[in-house]
Amino acid sequence: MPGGPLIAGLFEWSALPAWSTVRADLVQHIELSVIAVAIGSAIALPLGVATWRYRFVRLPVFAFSSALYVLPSLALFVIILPVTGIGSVLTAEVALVGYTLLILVMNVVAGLEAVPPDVREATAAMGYSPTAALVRVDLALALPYLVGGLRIATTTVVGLVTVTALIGLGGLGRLITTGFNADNSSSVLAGLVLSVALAAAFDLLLVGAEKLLVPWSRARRRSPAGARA
Amino acid sequence: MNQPRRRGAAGWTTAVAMTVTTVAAAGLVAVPAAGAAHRTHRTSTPTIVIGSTNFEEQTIVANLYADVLKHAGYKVKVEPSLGTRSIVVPAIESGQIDLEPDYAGSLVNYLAGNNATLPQSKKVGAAERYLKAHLKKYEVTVLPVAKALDANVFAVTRTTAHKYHLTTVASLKKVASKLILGGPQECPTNEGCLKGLEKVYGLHFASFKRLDEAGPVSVAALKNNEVQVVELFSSNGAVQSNHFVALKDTKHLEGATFVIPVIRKSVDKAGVRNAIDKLSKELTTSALSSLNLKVTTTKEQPATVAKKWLTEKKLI
Amino acid sequence: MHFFSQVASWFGQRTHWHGSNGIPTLFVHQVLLSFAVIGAALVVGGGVGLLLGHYRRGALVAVNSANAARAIPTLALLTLFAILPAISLTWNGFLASFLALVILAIPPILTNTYVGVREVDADVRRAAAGMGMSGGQVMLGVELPLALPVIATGVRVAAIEVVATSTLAAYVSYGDLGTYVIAGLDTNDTVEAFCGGLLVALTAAAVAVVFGRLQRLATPAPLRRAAPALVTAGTGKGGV
Repeated sequence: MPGGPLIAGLFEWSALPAWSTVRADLVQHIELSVIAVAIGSAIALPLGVATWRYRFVRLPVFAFSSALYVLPSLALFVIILPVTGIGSVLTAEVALVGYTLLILVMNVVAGLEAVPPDVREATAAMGYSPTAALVRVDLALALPYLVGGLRIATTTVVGLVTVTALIGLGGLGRLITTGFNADNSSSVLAGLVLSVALAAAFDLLLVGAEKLLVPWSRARRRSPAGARA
Repeated sequence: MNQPRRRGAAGWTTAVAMTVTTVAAAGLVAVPAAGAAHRTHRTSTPTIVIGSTNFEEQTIVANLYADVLKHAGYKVKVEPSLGTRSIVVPAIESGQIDLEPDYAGSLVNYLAGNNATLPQSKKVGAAERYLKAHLKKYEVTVLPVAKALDANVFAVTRTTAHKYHLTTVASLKKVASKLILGGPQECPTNEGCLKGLEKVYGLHFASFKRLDEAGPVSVAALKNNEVQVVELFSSNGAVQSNHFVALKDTKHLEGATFVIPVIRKSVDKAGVRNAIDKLSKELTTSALSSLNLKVTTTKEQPATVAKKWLTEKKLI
Repeated sequence: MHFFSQVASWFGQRTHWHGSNGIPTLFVHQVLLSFAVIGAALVVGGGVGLLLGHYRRGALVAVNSANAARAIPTLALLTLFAILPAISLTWNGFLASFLALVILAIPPILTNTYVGVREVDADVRRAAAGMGMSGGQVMLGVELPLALPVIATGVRVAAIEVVATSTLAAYVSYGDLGTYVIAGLDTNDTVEAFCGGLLVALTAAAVAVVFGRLQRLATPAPLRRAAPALVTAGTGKGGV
């Protein structure tokens, strides 16, 4: 332990693990995050559309996804552990996908509800089939909300993936836990900074994608979830 | 909300179609991910793949293996920090890796499952026999253990050791009631920790203090006299650098956790065996702790530390 | 079925209900840590949010801090504090966990307080000033009470996050219900880890319900919605 003030020597470049190790952790972190958000979206999109269209599913869907959301991730990891096994990607993904659901479903519903009724009447009058109307008009107009949901879900998941190191998986959390065990604060800091940077990078990508896909939405409020009660 | 109640298959087809597309997209991401983790094919010139858990010490030993094998003319590849033992052991059983450093006693208990503590885990010979028998069906075996032992040890400061004339765990008997024991979260209920100290050694400490998993908090707590006895790993570099005294476990509370090479039979050739054996004989507990110490205090890379030590010992 | 009988026998063990390693003690520790954190975060986050909202300053930081904070991995903060002996050894690991969790809890409270104050009708503020109220009186007597429902939402969000994340505190030596989870993971004892997870989940659910009630109480009856949305300003889990 270097002497002197509390914070002295908290970071040294030379103390960082080899780049190949860091890169492997970074890659696995990206994989775990992308899989979670992709599967979460695959479930949330149809679920959100169904929730918007059929009112009776609203309560069960929101109740279920809220419950998943409130559950602490580490608790959820160890609760499903006996079935899915320690160190398994499945253990992590089941929990991570669970967290994305509420955020994503709420944004799909909010986006679809924000489509003005006169637009909907106009599409019907123009002879769009219900499917075409849903895809080309409703979901297209809801895109800013969908992207808003994706942004929040992605940021949350990237932060959460660090915890998977405690159940034997890789990712940037491993820089944190091995750093802690070896009394190496530089490694912990590297995990912290890279994880935040990764979240920021994903966010910028999504903002960029939104600008390409919905150039008209720039001035609009991005998402109800980004605002408040 | 005034929603059109359009039912029918059309809406659902879209939903299903969207799901399929997104799942396919997820699959595209997942496939290379899986490919990275699983080596499926061997090339014609066999490379020995050495894996290790994410425990720093095992990464060091994996690098030691790699360097001596390279020196002996083999092609090697190190896959450090694969995860916990529950990832590394299946990896060697299925042939994704060929060689991994493990700990004899702990591996026995791991293979036994159900959080068991087998008597075979206490003695080296019995442990080696058990491991050979149980790994046989996967075409995996073990080489002779190294001299290095990484067991959980109970450590005291040099001052405390002098004051109470402590050398063994048993010698704590008279003074335990004046001392505070520190250990990881599972210590109070663990046979290898507080529970075992009470049952096997009859020690009753003044109190118990929760610390981390034999990491920096445990070291700091002992150093600052927040606790007087603490559970650490015997090869933890901090034991040396702080002149802590590791008390001898004469009643075998802890298993025979000697470093042991676990190897696939397909790569267990005489040349490989000789190279590893020569290394195992030089690899003592104090050598291992000084290697650990270099990684934790001078913050050098496991690979660098391994190479330097082997050069010093003229093993490469 | 074997697994569930093991779980049942774990809960039946006397040692899990008494003494320093018992569920009641560890539960109390978790609640104490969580409440201390939320109290501190309310003072700091609420105070800063109130001032920024009142003086109409720092909108960018105040509005975005809640979402940005989700990206911070609390595990990193916890271990960073725990690596410093001066912090890790203070109050049996309490301080390290407290500091890391406060950093997690401030942003949602700050953002919601700011937004709540900003949303107070300008006419109401003018009317209060017109009645001769000072700036401070407007802030504490008008803006704060009117912003209370939104602040309460932020507090609920923070509370859910904090209780969830305090499970990680056991990793760096604090003793709470996370103790069972960490001990179980350390020894490959899935039964103990599972039981710990169950206890943590129940605690988190109870906290969500209690703070949901508090939020309802803070909201005037006509403004209450049947099912208050969970995802609001800065909902999210920074680290857990």
